Amino acid sequence: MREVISINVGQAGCQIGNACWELYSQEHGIRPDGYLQEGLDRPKGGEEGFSTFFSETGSGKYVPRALYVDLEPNVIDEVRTGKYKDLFHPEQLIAGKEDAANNYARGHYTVGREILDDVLERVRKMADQCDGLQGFLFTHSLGGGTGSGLGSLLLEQLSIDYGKKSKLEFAVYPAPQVSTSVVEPYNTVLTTHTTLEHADCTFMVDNEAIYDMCRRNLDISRPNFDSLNSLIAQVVSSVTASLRFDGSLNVDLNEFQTNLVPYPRIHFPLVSYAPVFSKQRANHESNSVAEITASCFEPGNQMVKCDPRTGKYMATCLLYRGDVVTRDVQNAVAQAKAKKTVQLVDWCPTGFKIGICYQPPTAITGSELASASRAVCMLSNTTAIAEAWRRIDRKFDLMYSKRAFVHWYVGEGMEEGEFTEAREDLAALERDYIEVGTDSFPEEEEEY
Amino acid sequence: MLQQFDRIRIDNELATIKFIGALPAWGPTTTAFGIEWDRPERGKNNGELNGISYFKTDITGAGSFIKSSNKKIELNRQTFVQQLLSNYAVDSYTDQRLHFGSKRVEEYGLDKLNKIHANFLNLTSVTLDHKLIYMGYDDDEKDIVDIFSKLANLAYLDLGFNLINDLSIVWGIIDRIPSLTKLILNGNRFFDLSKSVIIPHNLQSLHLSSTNINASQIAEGVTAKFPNLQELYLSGNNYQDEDVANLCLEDTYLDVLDLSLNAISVIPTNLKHIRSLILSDNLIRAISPDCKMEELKSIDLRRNQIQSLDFIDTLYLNLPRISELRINNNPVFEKMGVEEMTIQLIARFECDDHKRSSTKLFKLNGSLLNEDEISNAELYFISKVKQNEVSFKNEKRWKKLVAKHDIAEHFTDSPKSKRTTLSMIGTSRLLLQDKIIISRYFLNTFTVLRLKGLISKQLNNISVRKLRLHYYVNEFDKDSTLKVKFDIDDDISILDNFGFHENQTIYTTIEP
Repeated sequence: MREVISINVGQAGCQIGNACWELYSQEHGIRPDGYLQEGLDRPKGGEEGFSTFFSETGSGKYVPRALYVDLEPNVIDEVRTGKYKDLFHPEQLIAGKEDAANNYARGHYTVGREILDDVLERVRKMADQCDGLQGFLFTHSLGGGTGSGLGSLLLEQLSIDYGKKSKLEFAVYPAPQVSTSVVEPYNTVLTTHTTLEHADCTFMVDNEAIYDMCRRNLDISRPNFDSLNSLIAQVVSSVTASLRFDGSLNVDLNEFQTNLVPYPRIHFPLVSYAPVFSKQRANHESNSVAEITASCFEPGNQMVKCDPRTGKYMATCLLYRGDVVTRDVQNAVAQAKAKKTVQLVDWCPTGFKIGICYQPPTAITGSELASASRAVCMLSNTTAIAEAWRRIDRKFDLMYSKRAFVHWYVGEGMEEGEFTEAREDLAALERDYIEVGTDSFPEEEEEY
Repeated sequence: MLQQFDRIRIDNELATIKFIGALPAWGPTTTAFGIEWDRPERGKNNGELNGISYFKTDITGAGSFIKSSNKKIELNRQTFVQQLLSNYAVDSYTDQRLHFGSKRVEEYGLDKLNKIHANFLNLTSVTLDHKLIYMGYDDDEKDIVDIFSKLANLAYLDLGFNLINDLSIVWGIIDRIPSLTKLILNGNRFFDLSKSVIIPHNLQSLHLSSTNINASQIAEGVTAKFPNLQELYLSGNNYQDEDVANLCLEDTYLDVLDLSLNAISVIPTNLKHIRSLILSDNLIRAISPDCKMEELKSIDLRRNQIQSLDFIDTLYLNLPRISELRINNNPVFEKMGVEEMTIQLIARFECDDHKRSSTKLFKLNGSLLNEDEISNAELYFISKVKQNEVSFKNEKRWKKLVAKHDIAEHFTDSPKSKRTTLSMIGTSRLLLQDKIIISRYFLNTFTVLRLKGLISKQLNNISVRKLRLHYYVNEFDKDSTLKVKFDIDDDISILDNFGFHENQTIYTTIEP
């Protein structure tokens, strides 16, 4: 038993959580009310893998090992009244009364603190039900008040209470296209600073990249949060597939993580997913293993906007799902290797892994994404992702040089020093990335 | 030996042999193949050389001639069983010890995967596309019955872009796999070379895209073969309007029909029972007013030639149960932004929030709609129609729109007036004992009070309360009985609300 507890914090976190759990239940053959679909005598994908994400009650009902936390009741109410309302136990849904108003300080210090004990108590209860808790899976946004503030607060606390358990994050990186507030750069920098030493591995999802994918690949003329979230859910599901489905076919995510994170601070792997195309295009386009593998190395299939051709790969793993055969996989990797755009750091001899999960991906009903018989998800730790930090740091500097909006944070009891401290930490992170990218044996310059 | 109508692959391009023989240009000892390329751009002619026609191409310019000795022709044609065994029945696993830069590629689970695949009973999905398959099996191959009996759980089979040239070859394969529900045959070509007895099969989803299969082959062969077929994909088959009319799908149980990437110009009227229709990337510019499709829930009309918003209104009237619509990238929306397009569509169709399961439109151009978005768009649209910036002829929908938002129905008032928001539209005249003493222009955006204020300024700040305004309807009509006087007594209303025409005169009197 290697259970994983999912914790969804804030509006974005809860909505993505919804989309994910909808997909998980479909993949495992669970109905919206928590019981097995007709014709199944046990969940799809094998008992052991399945129980990492779901627990079974005495009556044969399955309950997700998930917790929804938000400081305001709206989104949680949607879960309570939505299609999947019976899937969750009321105790799993925690909502406050006063929102964080897009303010990290409110989520982290004032409003968030009031709800903290309640949340930790529920986490403890859920952890007690586990035989061998493997770790936590966080879903939250970096730009919102609750996601950034309360999310980092929870991570800090869990780091104290459950030190050894691994903590993975899916973090939504803010984008101007679907922005809700002007202070997103502040929240992002502050929360990244706080969680940098507490999270073991953070998969970033850039809303701008997802938005572009929806527009370009799925031909959605005006993508909204529903469109973005269902695509994000598909990606999250691919990453977690190896945890949820049985058999030695799958490589444990922990094992991947060990390989993906060479230094504790360099823990932001870039996620790519293929195929992403609409149902209509899927009807006449083939997605051979070679093609989907090649797409993973294209910037258009990445979850974060950055150019990996400018950076170096430290570690990479390719997770295939569905109907693939060994020979095709081996050929596809050999073809990808022939591409000169893939540069690797020289100081690390290992770290290119391939894993296969026999279970094919499932399309969410109503999603524009075509259901494919096979898919591949690439996790790669590349130095190019530092671009994302540079972008957000620049936006931070623009506002902070004039101390704009800082009073909202100070008013909630934060010290201005924390801004500078966080910004310096991010600058150090940028430098770390440059350092790991440089070759360890630079060519000797001739000197006389 | 290759024969006429055999399929070949050259340089990763598929083609059909349409002529075998000698050409004067290459002498009598050289056998030439006249071939038609699947990708017409690859071709050089229509099957003629130096004025002599050797064969006819189906698509203009798709033909060319090659020597039969051409080394690029891939001659290692395969059977389905051969490919199945070589791809899926791999017992042993060898790590290929690939290096990616300095890194060794470590493979996990591949050996286990091989073991699972090797037991064909585990296979639910088999993908053998681009594999040079031209036949089901050779008669001298061993264990055919045994192999097929193990495919008892196979539900999905992809045989796309192979060298199959006859449907009866495919039937020969799938008749031995009764569990199959989804079959993909994209990119093959089918010539009626041999007739076989049609045994019904339980297939539910059939992909025949980019096959150029004749409408008559579908009508005679496919629909009879698969009585339970629910999804049929026929995109990229060069169909014209009459081909669609010849498909004869009236008596089937089809739910989903894909006719994208064809050359259809009118929405077909013979598909009344279809629930989901994909017509993107065609040349559709017209809809006949009587093509009512009561069952249709989802339609895709992207990248067509739809020129007018009237098309959209007709569409709304003919699709009473439509819930998903995709219609972006049509000429009619070219000058509009995405927002404008969305507003027009939301208002012209009847929409509803996606959370309420309803029979109304809830998904537009790939996005789910919500309540706020819908009412915002509708209100904006109503205001545009009222300002005559948008013409809207669908009275039924208009009545519903204004009723929903409880707005007075000023629809056909003053049809002749061309009002724009900021034009000077009239003159106000001050009357003293019926003599005009001041005359000035006013804008239709003024409030009544503001006009009064302007007048009062010119009259040495006489109190606005003493001013009385009125105007005449049909003032200059020859029949003076139609001339009616109206008082303007609501100080805060905007002059625009009175429905003035251009050069309207407003008269002012001063109370004693």
